[in-house]
Amino acid sequence: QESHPTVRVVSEIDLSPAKRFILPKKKKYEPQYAHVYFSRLKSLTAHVLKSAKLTFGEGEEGKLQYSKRIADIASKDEMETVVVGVIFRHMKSKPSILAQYDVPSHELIPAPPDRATCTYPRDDDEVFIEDEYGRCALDLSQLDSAVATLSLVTGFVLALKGHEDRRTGSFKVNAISYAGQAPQKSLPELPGDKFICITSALSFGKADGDVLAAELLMEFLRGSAGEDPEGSTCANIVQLIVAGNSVPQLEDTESGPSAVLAAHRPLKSGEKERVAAPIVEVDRFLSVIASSLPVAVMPGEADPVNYLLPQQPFHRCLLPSSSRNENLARVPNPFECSVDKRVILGTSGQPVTDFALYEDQSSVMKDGKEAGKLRPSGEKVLDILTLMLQNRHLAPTCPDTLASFPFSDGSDPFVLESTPHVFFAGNQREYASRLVRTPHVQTQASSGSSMDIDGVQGGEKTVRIVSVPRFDETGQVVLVNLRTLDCIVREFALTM
Amino acid sequence: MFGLTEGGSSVLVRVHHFYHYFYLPVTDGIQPEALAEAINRRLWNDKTVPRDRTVVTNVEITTKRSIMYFIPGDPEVKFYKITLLNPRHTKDVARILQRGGLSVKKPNDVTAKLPELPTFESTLDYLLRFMIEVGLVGCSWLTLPAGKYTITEHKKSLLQVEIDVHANDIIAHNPEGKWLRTAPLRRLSFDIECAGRKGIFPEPEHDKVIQIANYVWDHGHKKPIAQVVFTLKSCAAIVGADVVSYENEEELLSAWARFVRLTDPDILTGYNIVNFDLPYLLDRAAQLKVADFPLLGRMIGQPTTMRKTRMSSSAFGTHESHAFSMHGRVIFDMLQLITREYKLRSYSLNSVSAEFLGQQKEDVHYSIIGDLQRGDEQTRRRLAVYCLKDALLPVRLMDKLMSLTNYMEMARVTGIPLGWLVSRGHMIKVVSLLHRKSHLVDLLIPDIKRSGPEGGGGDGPQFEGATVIKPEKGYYKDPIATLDFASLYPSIIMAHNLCYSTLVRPVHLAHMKPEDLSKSPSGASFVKRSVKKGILTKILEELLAARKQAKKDLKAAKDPFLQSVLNGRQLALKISANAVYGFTGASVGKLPCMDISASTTAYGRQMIDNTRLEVEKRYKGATVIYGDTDSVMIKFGNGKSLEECMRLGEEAAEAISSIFPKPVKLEFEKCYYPYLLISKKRYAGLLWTNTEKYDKMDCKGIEAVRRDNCRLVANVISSVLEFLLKKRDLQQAISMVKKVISDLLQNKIDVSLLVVSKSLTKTDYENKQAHVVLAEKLRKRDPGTAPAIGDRVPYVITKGRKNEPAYSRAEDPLYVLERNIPIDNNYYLENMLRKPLERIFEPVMKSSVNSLFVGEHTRTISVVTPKKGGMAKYTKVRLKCLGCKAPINEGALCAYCVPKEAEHYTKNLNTMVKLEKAYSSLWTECQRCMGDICHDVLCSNGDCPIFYRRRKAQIDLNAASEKVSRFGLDW
Repeated sequence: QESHPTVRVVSEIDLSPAKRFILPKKKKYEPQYAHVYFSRLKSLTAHVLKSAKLTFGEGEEGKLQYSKRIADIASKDEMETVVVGVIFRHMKSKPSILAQYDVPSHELIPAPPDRATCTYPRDDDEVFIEDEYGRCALDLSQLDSAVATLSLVTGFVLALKGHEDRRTGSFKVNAISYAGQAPQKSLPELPGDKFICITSALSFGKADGDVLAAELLMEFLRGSAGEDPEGSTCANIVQLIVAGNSVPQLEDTESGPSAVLAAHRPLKSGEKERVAAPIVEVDRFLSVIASSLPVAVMPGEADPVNYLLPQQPFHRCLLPSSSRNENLARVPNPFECSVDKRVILGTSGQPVTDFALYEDQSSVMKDGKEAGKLRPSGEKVLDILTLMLQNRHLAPTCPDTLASFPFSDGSDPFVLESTPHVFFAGNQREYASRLVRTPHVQTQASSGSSMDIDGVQGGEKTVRIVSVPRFDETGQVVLVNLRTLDCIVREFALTM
Repeated sequence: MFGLTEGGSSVLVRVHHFYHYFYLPVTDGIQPEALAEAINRRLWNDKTVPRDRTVVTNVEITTKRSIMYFIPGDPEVKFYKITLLNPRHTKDVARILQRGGLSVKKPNDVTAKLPELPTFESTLDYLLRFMIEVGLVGCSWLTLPAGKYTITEHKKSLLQVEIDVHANDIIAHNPEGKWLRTAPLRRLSFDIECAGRKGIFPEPEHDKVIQIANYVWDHGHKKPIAQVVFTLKSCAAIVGADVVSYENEEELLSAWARFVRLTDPDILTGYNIVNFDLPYLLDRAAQLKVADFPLLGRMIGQPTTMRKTRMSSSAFGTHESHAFSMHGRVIFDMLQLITREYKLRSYSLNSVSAEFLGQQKEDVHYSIIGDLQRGDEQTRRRLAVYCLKDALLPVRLMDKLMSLTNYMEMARVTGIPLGWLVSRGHMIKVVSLLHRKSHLVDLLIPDIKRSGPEGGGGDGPQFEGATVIKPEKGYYKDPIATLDFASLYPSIIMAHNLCYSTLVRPVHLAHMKPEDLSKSPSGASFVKRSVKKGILTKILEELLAARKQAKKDLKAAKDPFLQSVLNGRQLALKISANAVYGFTGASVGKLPCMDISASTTAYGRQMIDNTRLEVEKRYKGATVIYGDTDSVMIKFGNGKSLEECMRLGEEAAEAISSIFPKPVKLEFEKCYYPYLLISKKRYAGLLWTNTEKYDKMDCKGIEAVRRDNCRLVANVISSVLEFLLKKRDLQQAISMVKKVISDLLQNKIDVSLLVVSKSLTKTDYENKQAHVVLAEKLRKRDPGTAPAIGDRVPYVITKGRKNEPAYSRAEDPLYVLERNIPIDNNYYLENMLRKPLERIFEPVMKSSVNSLFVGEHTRTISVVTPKKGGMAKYTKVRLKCLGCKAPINEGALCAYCVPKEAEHYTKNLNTMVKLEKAYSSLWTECQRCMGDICHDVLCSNGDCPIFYRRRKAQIDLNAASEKVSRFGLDW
């Protein structure tokens, strides 16, 4: 086999922003989840309030009031009021461990429910807004129902305008205001094209996997595949991000990680090879790539790491040979880094997938229903990512329906303090991408008022949002040009 | 009479000119006037009433019969009808006559002394007498014709309208047709919170009432009229509810009483209000001298009083309780109602709402309540939200269980006021039915001297039980057809014309034609219906005909509210019909008659026997494997299909019915397939009513649901039944049980499954019971949170010292979890699991049952080391290799295990991942249930299945995460 010596463009890569997703060495699973919401409110309320005042105007005697606490709206006789709080959707069909007790089974104690097979919304769902002083039921009859379901998802901190309906005791909402995007670092000029490559769900060892596709990808990244017509060459790819699920989710065993490696029971010889193979394959693949290109490997749902978000990096012992290479960074999920001052942030997809379950599946998923898994379309993924940016939160449904670590030190690491330049979600059904330009501060979707609240120079923010498809299903990887923030898809498959 | 108009306006109707009366057999030669005078004079002399008052206003002679015994020729008898001005004196007058010795002047001026005489119907309540005479039943409509009444200006009550009317002008309507609707009764549901001192259950002498939450909700309406919470000290606003705060407790109490008068509910409800909330409020108000507080009734100036009562009833058991005089309002305590009508593991509001409403409820322990009250307006708001929920749940339960609708129908069917259904036993229903029917046919009911405690009731029938056919224990894989006698006892009474009025005394037998008589298997003789139809027969015929009609109407009804009314009616009719038999058998009842009840059961037994003979005669190879009270279980033979058995069952029911007198009817309803017959009254099987799919798994008498068992027993038993009956796989059942036993011995069973809980009562202190001893231990540990009387004490049995009795080895499950104290696995195996398992497996495995408890799977026994206390004090914990347990100094693995690092890492990681999943789903569930995501979960609801599990998940996850961390992190 012929291989071209490649002179790679070097980039300044900073992994330190990912540190906030690394859990302390001594972890405490004592505090309750209330702290997570509480710190989220604390970090976001001021921003949301500021932006709401731009959208709705300052309070006016007898006309519009800002309620300091949700509990107080009961005393404001049907006057237009703005409240700020965290949204909670009470959905009877959410996966619930208590409900599992009613399901006949032979287990003495029911196992936690399987999220993947559930859909949440039903007609009798109730939506609440809550702050540390109380909660109030929302009446959404005056809102467009599509807006209401997409925006009012558990965990978002929002400002709502409306009034209390004395008869029902609920708050009739007529407008919503978001925090708006967080400040963004300026984007210095780059002299030439540089690319980062994002892939996800390599799923080594998958039963019906396309072994050759991964080999082709490897060839491409090492520079043996020749020039790309759209200008991305092996030489100007500066970083590979593997966004989770390097090994497949095995359906026949009880939980993901146990299936990937030797289980705790002694394995039969044949079984051991079959089961142990995937992670060895991953190690080999990463070793080869890392020898010529910096690689960041994030864990995903199926990988042998912890389950609660943020997922911690792969342990050294699982990737023994690739770990020896300094070019390989084992990183957490979510992950953030900066490459030549471009801030890149993303997840292995769980927050988006879970978020999508809050919508009516029939309208969102269309033909995305495969093997009992519901996954949103590419456009829907982009809508969700945009909303997350607007609400400054990258995993709103944590911890309610998306399992997360019980943070208690007063910080919610999923709050977006700044806006990245590239924002991606891995393991999606299909590729999609959008450049979101925010000329000034976009406040409310329906209102055209434009003022700068965060005082960032220029005011304009540009974010490339990307739905990164599963490699095992599409053979596609995404290349983002760091100079232009343009996006290219490359496909590697036997059929090519 | 208190009532509502159709539009919901409250009305007080004052009925005039209705006088109470009772009967006395006529003594020859004594004139009615003379008798009246004699009674009045006697009352004056005894100083029972002042001399200027006439008690007996009229005595007249009427012709009636006594309900007791059939006398040859059925002659009429003369009675004095003694009418009194004031019903209050009925007892006095009746007693004078019963004791005898009253001097009465005969027309010839000779004074005669009356002998002891039996009175008739003097014990009938005045109110019931009035209702019977007017033809009024409970919860029904009546018309007061225009011009026949006057509206009172000077009201004596809180009702909107007050009317005076003559008793004869009232027109009562049967609750049929357009009078079927029910009135929109106003319900007030409330719950109070008291600030207890640390560790002591609140007492009204010391502890303040700090909150009273209320829901006002008209029956049949979709939304409440008001949600109000009264708080002591400020409380932050609650969306959707009105919060009223007071600085001083007297004002709070007084304001609440005003609120009750203002909203003027017909029904006062809540959970345990009769024995907690109401007495507490009344006692507390008395303590604080809040004079206007007891004015909770509807009559102006008439305070509510309470007294302690013991109510005993054969059906409901004996209860210590409180009785209140609160004019015009019915106190409808959902706790009392549910304990009467449902058998549950626990009657706490938590588990009751989990059972019926399908929701767990947050439980704030009363030791925290004080802290919340002492906090600020936000913590008090938290408490108020909780309190409101406790006020809401009883109404939700009432609606869900259709309690009010069903009780209203019961009042209508039996003809008694709604309040009596709550405050009295079953007996009064039959009394009302009996009097109503007798009144129409001029039969009089004698007064029976009471021997039991006040309030009636007492023991059930004291004769041979009803089981006849000895169960042939076994596990039947062939379908078992079940034939049931429909309404067995009522049918027998009707078929054989059993009644007070048809019973013939032995002395009269000689004077009767034998063909007019039938002699029951127990030896009593009754006349046939061709001679005289019994009152009981008539009552039952009417009840059953009415039930048929109600069921027919129910099918035709479209409106859901009407459906619930009709369903309530048919249920009430069924219950009432069955109550008749019990009434005749209640030895200290109003009118016991052992001849009737003993004959009924004797006929029943005979019928079951005959059925068996008939079945085995008609069908070759068929055997009756078991027969109880009103059903027989038939195995038609080996290898018969389900279809075949259903057809044969159908056929047999029809054929055999014909050998019994009408209206006795044998019905085929279901097959059990397969069927596990354990012993008398204990069996389980899959129940089939069609051949396509079984309806359900039916278990009778299997003690999986008993309260003093831990969940493990219930879960294992139900799993075993599941395997045996649904999967028909004995081997799987056995291996499941072995696995559980093995897990138990190896400490792999979740503690939440081992928790037993018992409630601490006053009388427990003398004997050494596990929960009592533990409560004492906890009090020493922390008096602030120790259980008080009335609390449930959850515990697990730990290993303890050698030979230490089990009761002193009980320990708080949380304490055990936190300190890793070893559980006495053997105790659970031998004292909890063994008996129920043996019982279930015995019919299947016969003598090899013991193999479940010995063998390979019982060999491995792990013992955990406690973290604190005991020997742990003297030991130093050294790190061990996570692979081979060799002692090491640091890290995770010893040098020999390092090459297999990935394997050991993954093994530990897997354990952690499982726990992470459990941890997050358990704690988010509690956060959701609490209805608040910004505050910590405080709930201490030990009845909730995940209460201990969530704490265990925390502890285990911390341990697992620590192990994983030992492999090192490189970030």
